[in-house]
Amino acid sequence: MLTLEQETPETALWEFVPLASYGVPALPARSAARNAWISFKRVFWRTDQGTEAPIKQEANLRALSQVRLQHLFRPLDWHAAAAALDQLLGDWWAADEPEPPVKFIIGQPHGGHREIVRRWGERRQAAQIATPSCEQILARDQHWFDDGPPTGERWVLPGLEHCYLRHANGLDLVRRLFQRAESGRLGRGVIGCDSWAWAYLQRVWPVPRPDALTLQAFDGPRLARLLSRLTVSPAGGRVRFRHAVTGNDILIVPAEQERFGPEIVQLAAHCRGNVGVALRHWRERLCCEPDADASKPNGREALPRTDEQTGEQTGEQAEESVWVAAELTAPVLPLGSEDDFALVLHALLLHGGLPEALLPDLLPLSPPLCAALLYRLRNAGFVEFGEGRWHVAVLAYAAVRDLLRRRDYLVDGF
Amino acid sequence: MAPETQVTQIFKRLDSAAALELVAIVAGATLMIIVVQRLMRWIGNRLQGSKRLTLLALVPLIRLVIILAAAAVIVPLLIEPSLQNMVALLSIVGVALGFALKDYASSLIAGIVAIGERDYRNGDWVKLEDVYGEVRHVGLRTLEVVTPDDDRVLIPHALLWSQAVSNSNNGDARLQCTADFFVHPQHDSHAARQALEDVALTSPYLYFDKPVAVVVNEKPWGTHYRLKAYPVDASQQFRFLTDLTVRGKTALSELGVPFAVAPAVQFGD
Repeated sequence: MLTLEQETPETALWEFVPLASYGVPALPARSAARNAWISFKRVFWRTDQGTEAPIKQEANLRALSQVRLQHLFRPLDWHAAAAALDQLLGDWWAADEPEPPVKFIIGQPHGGHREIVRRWGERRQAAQIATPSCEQILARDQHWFDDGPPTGERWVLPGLEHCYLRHANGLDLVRRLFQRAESGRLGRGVIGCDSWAWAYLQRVWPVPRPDALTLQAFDGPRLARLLSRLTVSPAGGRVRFRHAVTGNDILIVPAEQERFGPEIVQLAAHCRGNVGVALRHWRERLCCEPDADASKPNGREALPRTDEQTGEQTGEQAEESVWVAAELTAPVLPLGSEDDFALVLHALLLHGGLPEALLPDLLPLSPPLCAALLYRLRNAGFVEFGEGRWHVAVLAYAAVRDLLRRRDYLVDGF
Repeated sequence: MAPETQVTQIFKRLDSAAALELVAIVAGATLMIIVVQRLMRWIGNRLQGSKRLTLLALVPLIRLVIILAAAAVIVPLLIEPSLQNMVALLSIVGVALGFALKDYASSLIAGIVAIGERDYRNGDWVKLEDVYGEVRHVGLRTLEVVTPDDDRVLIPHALLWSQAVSNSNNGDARLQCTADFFVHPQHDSHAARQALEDVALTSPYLYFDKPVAVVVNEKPWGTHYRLKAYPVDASQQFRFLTDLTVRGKTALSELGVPFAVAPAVQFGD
């Protein structure tokens, strides 16, 4: 077990840094070799989803129910991140004529940049600019600027990735936005942008912005601290997260001396410091011993309090063990044209998700083929639908990024 | 001494053990070549970009090394390796090649030169005479090229001595593609150039670490635009070119740029 250091300003949970200072968490040598072997197998022994079970669940354990997860974890509080951002931007926001007039906050997919910028805007009572519709973007409709806040009012634009389309007609609006922002005509504001869209837009509007900020990577210690804070322990008791195979403790909440297992370092490295992806992987890996109550003939799920609870009692202190599956969940790409799958996944990442109807306009593929590819990817666990758009699934993000990087597609800077 | 006796003296008398050894070496070398070729091609086809090309480019080199090694083992089994014998043997081989197998020998030597100089490697896109395609196999005598129409063309290496070889990617994973647009001379060139640049920038196949360029030439019959960019992988060149052409035409049409019709008079290219 590794020991957590005392929290200092340098190791604060939520920390915003310039893009160049983002430190991707390193993988321990043993895990790196194992990952290399898995990548090697993925390249040379490609199998279909149907022939290879995703990841074998540890015997006699089952995944935690959503109800149990809701009781075990508090939802991630983006207000804390917004507060950290506020600390950094406070002076700039208060200055009379700050330079530059517009700040950019870049975040990885599922990393919460839109929520953070939105909450920060609410905190500072800044007007929130809605993103243009796809029709407005393709029509180069400059009336979108008229719908923005009046001159002099401060503003935030949480999702720049939804302000452009990779289409010959889809860049004009975002270029004008950059032009107005750089010249100061838009007044003072903060723009949130997805890291993939940022990588692309830097080619479309090649003006370097070294002052762009991002949330510092959640490495092992930072992630362990966050998991401890989010875990709700039973009254007067504690929760032990234990490795499903070895039985070793990975994390104990609360603990007098905060310690964590190497699995958390591996998780942080696998997710490249992306807090949203890491939390989802963590929740997916949690499992418990089957509860006798859960298999009652009426099929009703056990009550949340007793569901999956092992009920170990040590003296007067209640202790609950939650098992952590040994393997990280990773989907397998369906057999077929890897080129076409890569095109669809890349388009989804560059735009922070896309509506299905728009895909054929952005890709050199027919509408039926786009739909077929999308649904095959969905069935394989690579994409999911939400908020009117198809996105790369959280659990597939690391695998998709690796696939696109190997094939030399433009990837984000994280 | 009779010439027949002299030739007999050059070659050793082959007993059954030596003959067996000879067969084993030839069979072993052949097997090694087949295994190496298939294995490296199999691995190479599962890799992407420069890794694939580097691996495929090693195939002919390894094959040459195996052949030379096998020859170095076989020759002492067949002849007494004295200076006199070697000179005599090489003279016989030289005369035979010079008269009977001149072209074959020329191709063999050109093949060794091509492998040494790396004029073309597996995975390169080359143009020799009128044949354009991907190099699939660099043999000792011939070069195997597969054209975009999936035709397999065997080209003797001897063409190297007299023909220009155009290599589009020269070992790199990427090659430049050029989409041509022929439009009427009366139009807004700035808008057309910007539109074509955006067409390239928004292509899903575009490789971003190479430049995008639009070259404009004024012709007697109109204006010739050439949109130059690089796809992520050389194998995507035709899909990339199609994408640029289709979307480029749409973008120019939306700008109201009229396309050129067949030239009434053509002054050269």
